[in-house]
Amino acid sequence: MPIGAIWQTALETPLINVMVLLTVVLGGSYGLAILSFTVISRALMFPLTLRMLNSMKGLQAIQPQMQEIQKKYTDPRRRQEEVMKLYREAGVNPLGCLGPQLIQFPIFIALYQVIRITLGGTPEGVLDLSHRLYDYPIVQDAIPLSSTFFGMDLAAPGNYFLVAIVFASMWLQQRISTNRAAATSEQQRQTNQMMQWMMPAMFSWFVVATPAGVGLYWASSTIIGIVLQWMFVGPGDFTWGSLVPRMVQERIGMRRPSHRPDHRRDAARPALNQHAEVPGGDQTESRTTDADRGSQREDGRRGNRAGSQSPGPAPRPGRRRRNHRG
Amino acid sequence: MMFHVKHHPRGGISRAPRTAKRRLALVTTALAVSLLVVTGCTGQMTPPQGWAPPVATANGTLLVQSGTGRITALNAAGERITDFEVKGATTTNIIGRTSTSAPSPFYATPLVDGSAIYLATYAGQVLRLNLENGTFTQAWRADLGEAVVATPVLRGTRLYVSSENGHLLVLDTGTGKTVASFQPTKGRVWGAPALQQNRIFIGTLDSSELVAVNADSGAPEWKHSGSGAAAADIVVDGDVLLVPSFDRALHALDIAGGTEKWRFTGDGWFVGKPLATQQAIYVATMRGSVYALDRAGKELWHFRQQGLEFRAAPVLAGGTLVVADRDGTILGLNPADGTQKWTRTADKTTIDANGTLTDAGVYFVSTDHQLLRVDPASGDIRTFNVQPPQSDGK
Repeated sequence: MPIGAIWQTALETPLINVMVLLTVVLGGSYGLAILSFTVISRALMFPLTLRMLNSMKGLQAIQPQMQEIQKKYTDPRRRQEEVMKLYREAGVNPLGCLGPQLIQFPIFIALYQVIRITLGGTPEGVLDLSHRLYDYPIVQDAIPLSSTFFGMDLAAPGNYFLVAIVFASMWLQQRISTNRAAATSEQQRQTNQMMQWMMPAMFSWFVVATPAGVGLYWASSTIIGIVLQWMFVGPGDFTWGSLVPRMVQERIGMRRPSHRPDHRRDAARPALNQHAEVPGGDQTESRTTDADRGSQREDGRRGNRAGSQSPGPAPRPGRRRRNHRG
Repeated sequence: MMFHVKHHPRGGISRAPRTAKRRLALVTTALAVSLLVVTGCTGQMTPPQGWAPPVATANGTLLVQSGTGRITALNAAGERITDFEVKGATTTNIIGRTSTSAPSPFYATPLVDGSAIYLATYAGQVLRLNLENGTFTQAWRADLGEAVVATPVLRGTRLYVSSENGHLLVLDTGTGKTVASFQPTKGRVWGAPALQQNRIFIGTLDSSELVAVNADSGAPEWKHSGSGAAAADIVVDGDVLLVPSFDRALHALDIAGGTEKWRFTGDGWFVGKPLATQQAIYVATMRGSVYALDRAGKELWHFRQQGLEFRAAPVLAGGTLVVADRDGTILGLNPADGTQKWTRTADKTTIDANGTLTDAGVYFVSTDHQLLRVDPASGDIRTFNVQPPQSDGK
């Protein structure tokens, strides 16, 4: 059986019929069908999502020990061994977060095809749909489907309203998934920063290029993901106040006017290295610098902790969040 | 790297053994999923190809869509006379750069009125050509800016064009200028509207309604809801309108007030135009069925062949009902009882367009622009190459 036929029989055709059926059940609204499908698919994937969230939670919990290992060992091999040992001891899988994302990807692609097929871009496309529908009057008689949902044409690409929602939601999801304070090196911090913007930008581009229905799915799926993460893991070191620009924060009194610590300059400042007291010794300058940089960053970002240069392990994000909420 | 953590009975932790078999299974699964994803990514939609049927002029010239946006005139012997290609629309962007879109196919049947030929492309270009002395000349061209699938209706000096947005645009046949624009319905109009006196009957795909419009004022006279999604041409049969639909029914509506007189439910979507003769109404479905009905909508006979799909309308030619399946199987049926007279297959052919009856036989055009002539008596098929020579192809 050719691979294309397997794709069609196993995923595409059932999904076409599910979407048509959902549309009929939901009063002919294809947009509602997409939203319902998103909820159903997220519900089916919930066990995996929960595993992923637990894994994330576990990873966040061992961040202090991770930082200690980073400080303690200079030999990359030894450091890697210790990190892996820590993972084993804590019972976390660093790749556990990927499961739901990987499963979502084929669904995303299948849905892209299904939306193109069911909303029929061409007259031939609408007629070809007849072959893909199961022989039940409820689905056979439902064609053609209306592609309009709250004024949006779900079959047309380039819906900038959805692009904005996808970008904002993905940015937020990325932000609450990343503990900035836990970045153990400047390189990691930069990687986090890049991912923070690259992922939303990439998916926004997908949404620009694909039918708006795909954007609707992705936006709603991401929002559900954010809600679940917030419920089960928490927002990490993210606060809504951090969205307010620094200047505005200072002007309205959210933040004390302060000299923002320059991470790069601080990183190069040898004086900070004196805090690099690691239990068990075996400290190195470079690791110490990175660790201090992390706490400096966190302190600088929080504003009212500026100047605090506690050398201890980074506190649990949840605890800090409670202190600063509101 | 992936670790599976296994808690040891004594509280210690050990790595779970991973056998080669398990690794192989993982790699195979990953490969299969990747292949599926790639397949899903690369799946292509059918581009618009157009299903305009061949049309015969009064002097026996045959007009055939011989390429995307191109029409070719052939003589009775099937020899090419001349071609005309409708260029894409030219647009200028904000920095003043002009670009021309790709040619667009014809779904609408070319309308012939003496030497004048009216064409409508899917991209919304409507043209009047004159075919004189073996050459096409363009009289005018109007870019409507709306997709057109339905065959326009010609009434005197007015050309009524239904668009995919539900508009009814009235063009002057002399100049091509739009003299009136109405919105009698919402949604796509694919089937050719029917004309009777000063009324135009328009069926819609999206709103499952049929509207009778006054051709002079554009005012709706009556509206019938629940006639299903109509993609096929509407036929006037005496005082009845025959409306084939995606709801697997052929609806017969009273032409005066729009009430449903009867409906016949078949086994699949009706997309081909019904053929109304004195003896019966013949209509085919996308599930491989051909039905003969009487004037009360009662089934006279039913022919079905599993695996066939009829998009083209049946053609009655010399005592044989000729029906063409989408994949190139052409059948000759006895119109009296539906028994099969002959069957022929044109290899590697896809037929979406209706057939056309001429003195020489029944002509079908395939989606790859091959012209087939079927002898209704024997079923013999002759294929004509209607592609223009490469040198003047563009």
